[in-house]
Amino acid sequence: MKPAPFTLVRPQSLEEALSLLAEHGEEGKIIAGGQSLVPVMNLRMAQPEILIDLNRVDGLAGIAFEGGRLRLGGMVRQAALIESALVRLHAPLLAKALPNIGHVQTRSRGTIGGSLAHADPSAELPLVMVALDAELVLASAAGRRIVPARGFFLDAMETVLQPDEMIVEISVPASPPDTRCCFRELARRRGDFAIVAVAAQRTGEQLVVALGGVETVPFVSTRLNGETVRGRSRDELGAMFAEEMTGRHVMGDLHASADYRAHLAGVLVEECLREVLEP
Amino acid sequence: MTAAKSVQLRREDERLLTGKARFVDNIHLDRMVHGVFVRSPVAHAMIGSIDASKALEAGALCVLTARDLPFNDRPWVVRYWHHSIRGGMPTFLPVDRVRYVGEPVAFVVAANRYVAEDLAALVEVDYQPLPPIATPEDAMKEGVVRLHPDWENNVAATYSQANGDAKSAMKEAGHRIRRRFSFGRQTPITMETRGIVADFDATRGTLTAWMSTQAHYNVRQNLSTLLDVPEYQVRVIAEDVGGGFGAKSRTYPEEIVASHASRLLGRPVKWIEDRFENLQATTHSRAIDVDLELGCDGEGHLTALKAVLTLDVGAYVFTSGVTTSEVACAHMCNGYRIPNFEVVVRCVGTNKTPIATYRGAGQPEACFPTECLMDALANELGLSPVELRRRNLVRPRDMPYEPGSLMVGTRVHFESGDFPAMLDLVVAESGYTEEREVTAEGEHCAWGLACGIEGGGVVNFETALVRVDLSGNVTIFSGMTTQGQGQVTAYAQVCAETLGVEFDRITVFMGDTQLMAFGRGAFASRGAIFGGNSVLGASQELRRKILEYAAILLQEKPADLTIRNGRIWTVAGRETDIDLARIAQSVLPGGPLHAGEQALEAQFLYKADRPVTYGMSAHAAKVKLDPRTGFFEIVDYMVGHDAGRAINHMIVEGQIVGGAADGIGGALFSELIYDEEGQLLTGSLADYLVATAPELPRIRLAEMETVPGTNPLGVRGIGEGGLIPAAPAIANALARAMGSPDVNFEGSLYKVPLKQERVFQACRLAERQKARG
Amino acid sequence: MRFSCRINGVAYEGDVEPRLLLADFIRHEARLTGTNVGCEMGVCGACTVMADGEPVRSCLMFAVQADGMDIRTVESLAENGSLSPMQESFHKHHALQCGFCSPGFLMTLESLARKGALPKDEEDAREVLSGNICRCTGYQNIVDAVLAVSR
Repeated sequence: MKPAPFTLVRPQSLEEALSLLAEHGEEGKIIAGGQSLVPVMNLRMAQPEILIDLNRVDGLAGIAFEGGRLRLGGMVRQAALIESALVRLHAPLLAKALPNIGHVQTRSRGTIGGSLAHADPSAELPLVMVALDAELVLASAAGRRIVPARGFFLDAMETVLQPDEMIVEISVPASPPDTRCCFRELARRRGDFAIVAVAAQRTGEQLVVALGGVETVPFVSTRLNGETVRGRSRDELGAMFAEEMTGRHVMGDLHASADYRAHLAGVLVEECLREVLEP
Repeated sequence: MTAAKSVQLRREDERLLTGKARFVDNIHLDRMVHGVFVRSPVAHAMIGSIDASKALEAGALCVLTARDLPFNDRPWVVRYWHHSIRGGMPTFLPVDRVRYVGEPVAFVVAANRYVAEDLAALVEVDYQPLPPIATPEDAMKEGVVRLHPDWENNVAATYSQANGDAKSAMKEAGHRIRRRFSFGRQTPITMETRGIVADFDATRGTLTAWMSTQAHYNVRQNLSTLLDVPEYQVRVIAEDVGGGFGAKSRTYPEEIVASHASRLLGRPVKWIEDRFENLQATTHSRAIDVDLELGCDGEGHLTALKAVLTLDVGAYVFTSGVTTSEVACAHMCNGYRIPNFEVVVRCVGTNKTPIATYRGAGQPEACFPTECLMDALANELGLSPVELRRRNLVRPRDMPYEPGSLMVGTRVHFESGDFPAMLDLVVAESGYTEEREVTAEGEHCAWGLACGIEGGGVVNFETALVRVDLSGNVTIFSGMTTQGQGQVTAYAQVCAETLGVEFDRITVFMGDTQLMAFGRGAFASRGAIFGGNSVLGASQELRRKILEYAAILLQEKPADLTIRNGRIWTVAGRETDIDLARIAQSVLPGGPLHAGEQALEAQFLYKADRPVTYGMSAHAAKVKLDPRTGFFEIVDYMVGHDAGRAINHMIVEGQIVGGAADGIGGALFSELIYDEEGQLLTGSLADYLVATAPELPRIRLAEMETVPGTNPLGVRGIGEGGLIPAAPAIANALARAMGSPDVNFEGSLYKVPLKQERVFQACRLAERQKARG
Repeated sequence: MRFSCRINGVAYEGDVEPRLLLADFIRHEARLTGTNVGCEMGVCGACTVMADGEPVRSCLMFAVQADGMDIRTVESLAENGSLSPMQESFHKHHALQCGFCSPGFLMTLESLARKGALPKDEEDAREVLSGNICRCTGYQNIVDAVLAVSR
């Protein structure tokens, strides 16, 4: 199928983009890499009247390290993340997750901001940003606000972004050099969205385990968190996680039922724990 | 056993690699306009009304519905029809009722595809919902609305085949085993979707249709009879076709409707199916459940087979009838000697896309249950699966062997081959063992195998014409089509070898009904068997003529002459000064040898006493299974096959490897899933999965060459044997990886595709069984 | 909406609806029909072209987004009538059957070749090819064709 008609506007600067967004609000839709948006437009499942193309806006595609944080512009392509030495150095968990995202032809266009705004429950980048406790800088013509990734996702394909807002930057706290991390996912095929994905990171006594593809938004395990894990065996931790899972609303779809996802989550969490906890 | 390998790089490649191919959407004609179909969004409904006024007001060039088709109640031209079918063929557009999601309802034409889609959205169809029928089980329940008047209990066709006395033999069998199997609904997925550019020229009364089809002559017959255009004024061209796999071996309503629109508008009309339509409206396949029972004596000799096959035939019996169920029925006994069998077939209607052929066309659906049950039976008997098969495979000394079944009207007939040797070859070459390894990470590795038979050829006859031009170059015209199987190269090879002309001086044309008065096309693995043999026959006939003319010119006997590199030589080894150009010039009107022929050429219609040539293949798969998740990898894979005489080994191997990859992908991933409302949930390639490169193992080949006597070239079909035994080989490997437990895997391993979740359920069953001891 | 780009070194000016997909512009306006369209949702890879050196799905870009870009399609690969090394390798290894997907594979590989990033072992090759679907070959001969060039 072919997309329905729309008007395309091509702002050159962020200010221009934000004022267009303020002007067109509900009818306007941002296009970043287009790798998630254009398929649904081609199906006419999305029919925005005005498309605001960010691909010509200067200053949104930088990767920088300052103040102990990795600062990623909203328009940084997934391919650029893979090639970035700064990412490998300061966000090794992100670096491990990146090869699981899409294919070479989608990574060349797909952006980090676009992926986060799209908010697919099984996508890798939202999960990693939740795991790393990243902050998202949201801008509108009225100003900026900072939202933690952990509070950004509301539901499948739904975020706190207002119609006049866009993600301009993702700020990721740098992982200290002694950080150990692990990213595991199970997908029907290579490059598909994960059935379940688990991201785990340990720095000293601090542990974080986050899961994607389990609930409608990625989440941080409440039990396998912080220093609570000190002195506990892997079996004990596994049991704690299993208990946590009984209270969660696991989703199911064509590719995997809820029960199966919950089971896979347990297996992947165990693998991640082995990787980050054991000597 | 294998002669020196014959390899010839393909003539087709350069144009395909440089972007010069002529796929149907590459055709651009002056004044061409574009059509799009309005398709039913609901599975089952009465059509109250169709209002196209808004679309027409907004600029649609035309909107066609059933009432606009003067031929809508005429019959299709079909090649073959099973006698038990109780009607239920679709009209070209539905009159008052839709029966599946994606059924074409109206055709909207506009200046381009984008606008046509805008306008199609303005066509208002009033659907009055009927209860959808989601499964064959539901369909046969009492009180369920009938899909078609004569479909009692919604059974579209039912029949059986039997030999001996299966009931008594089963009762008396020393061992019996019975399980239910399910081969999920799949669809061929050609990379190029269907499409047509129809150009009706009123001044000449001709219709030219560029199409993506495997069966151009059948399309021509339909266009001619339905649109009342004399047959030779309809020309169907399928120059480059981006894959067929059975999806395009018939005529579809869209092609007729688009051609009619071209006549009404007096302009060329293009319709290109998009991928979403392709998943909904190109015929589906597989979707056969089998309840299978095997009986054997104390030594594991099979004595009886009983099976009930249920085909979820969809909403209509489409233009290839119930062929896949017939093929499955005919092949339930696989390559085994089973004296008593009874197979009952029910083709049951549901509100889903109609069923037709897909690579293997019933053979994979039969092979899967039989080969899985053979392993389960071996397990019960405490026999090796290899040994159980060896004891039952048809042996060379049994041949010719007829199991007693009929495939599409012909008796199944194993004429030649060495089935047990093929099995042994694969066992020896693959490294197959019956030991299970457990890796340090807790993964279980094991081999599994399966045997399959492939019947190639089927539709009897194909045509070819070979002509030598005045410069001594050769042109072959064939009634075939090609969708990438390398016919252009293979036919040039056959002709080069037969005629004694350089390969590079031969040009091959096919895929155009203007070339030959009649032909068939490429399906049912008949490219070499029928197309190749017709080229052989024409080349032989032409050679005979050439040598006769040469004999006159040289004042020799024809038997003392031969042709080498396009020149006449004496058999004794002396080169003459006569070449093919000289002979062609001489026989032309006005030439010294002219005897009434318009050119130096020969035509041949190849027709076989036995239209089906059988071959056997054996697959061995090694899996590495993580029992904690049900995820597995295929770490090694071998296909043993018998192509008969390989015209071109490179092409043969390409067909086998490609078939195996499709078989593996289908076994692992591909499944069309509907919800209870009859909505297709796997409507894109993001949900309907096919294999990509990382999921596939390197496929190793073991070749055997036994030359059949069923056709002069001595070739067997190669299109399907690479695929047929893939699913059971993998399922058997998985069962062994689970420790070959005495477990009934119905609903898990006995259901294709072997999705990770189903495999995990099987792992659970196996573990529970182990725990019980 | 007006835009201009270069396709295979030739300047194209377009005045098109913004919704026109780049794939459709290349195929039906520029009439370079070597680029094939297989799914229109970025899954199959058949429509892959190079945009400023990067492999992209041309069904997921609007033509006007190519404004100012240098687009390369399969028609650019063979120079002076001789096949590129990868095309030649596809031919020698029987890495195509129907050929509908081949342009997408070739353009993905061309962008890697230009960066000196062609895969050198089978696993990497399969990984890199995972965004292109082929229904005929089973990928094996494509992998061999790639490795023959990269090694």
